[in-house]
Amino acid sequence: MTVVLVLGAAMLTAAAALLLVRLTVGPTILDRSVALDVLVAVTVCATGLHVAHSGVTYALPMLVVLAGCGMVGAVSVARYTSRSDDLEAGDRDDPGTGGLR
Amino acid sequence: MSWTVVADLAAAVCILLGALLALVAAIGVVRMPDLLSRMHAATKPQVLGTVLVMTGVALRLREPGVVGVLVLIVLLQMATSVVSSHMVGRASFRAGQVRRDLLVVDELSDGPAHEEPRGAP
Amino acid sequence: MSPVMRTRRDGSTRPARHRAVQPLAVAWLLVVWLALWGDVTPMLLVGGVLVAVLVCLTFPLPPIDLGSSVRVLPLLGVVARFHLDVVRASVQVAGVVLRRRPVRNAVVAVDLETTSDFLMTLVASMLSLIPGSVVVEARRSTHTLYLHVLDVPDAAAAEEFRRTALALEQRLLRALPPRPTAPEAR
Repeated sequence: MTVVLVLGAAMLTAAAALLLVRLTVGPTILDRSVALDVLVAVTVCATGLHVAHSGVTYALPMLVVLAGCGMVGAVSVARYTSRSDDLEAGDRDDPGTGGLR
Repeated sequence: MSWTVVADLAAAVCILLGALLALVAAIGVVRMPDLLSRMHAATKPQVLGTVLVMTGVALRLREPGVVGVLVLIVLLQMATSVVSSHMVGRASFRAGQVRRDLLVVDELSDGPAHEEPRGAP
Repeated sequence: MSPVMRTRRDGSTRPARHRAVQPLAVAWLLVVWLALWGDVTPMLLVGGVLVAVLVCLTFPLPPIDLGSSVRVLPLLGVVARFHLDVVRASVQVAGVVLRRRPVRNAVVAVDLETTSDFLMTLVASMLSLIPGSVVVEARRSTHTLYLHVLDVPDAAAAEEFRRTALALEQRLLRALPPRPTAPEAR
């Protein structure tokens, strides 16, 4: 069982590292918020692994809060970017085609 | 082979698969070319990954009291990932951050201009 | 949805407490309470009901008008099919992520048959969780969902996806057939 848990933890660590890359590189703030959303989910999984390893269940209500509130960041970012042109770094796209506003 | 060994094995398989799916989601977030494709990679494998890891934890702990909390975590994860993915997708589309060269069909921009009546949420 | 507002005599507004305590909401909150404690004792039951009523009074919401009857067996079928679809979606998206070919996408409009907001929400959230689709825009007045679909090589595949989405709505309509006339309007 320990081997499995170590393997799982290694995979989750790799996932978190990749997400940090996207969090740093991400051309727009929406990319970053998506990466942050997935990072919260990875944290939930990692804490789950810790609970499975130690058998201590005190961390589980914390996971409930994380799963419920992980979306707040992404939703509020999305809410306030829809008004502004967050394109200073997104020069690969043509801003003129966004004829929806 | 006793019952606990079988449960431990199932838990191990679930946890490994779940972690693998989380890793795939992270790879997708890094590799995909535009924001909306990244969101596909972010929402789906990640939700199933959480479900699998929580199933693994439940099988490992084998306490009836814990199952309620784990089910709650999975339900919240499913409900919130839908909301956040819709909000982010809508914001990116309205801000024009979609790579149109990747779209085969675009019925939202090609359709006639539409004004939502006042009072609609 | 925001709660029904009531105007006081001095002109200020506050949420109306009219029928704020709904039995379904109380039952759901009680289940959450018991799940958090991980145990069922008489003391927890009483405390849970008290907390649930308090929450309902503090954050009043208008009652959800379901507007349809419930058929249990087709509903179970829909739920089972949904889980199958979630698993298939994850495997499919994982395949798309890991292959080398660049991905092509599409934005597809799906005109729903139903006129109920509740069913539209349900279809939208189920579509967001199953194979390669995210709801980009929803128009309530025309009941149209605009979905961003991953991995669509050509227009025929987009048409194919529209058919699957409408089939899901039909399954849902069979499970929750709308009542012809609501016997009690709110």
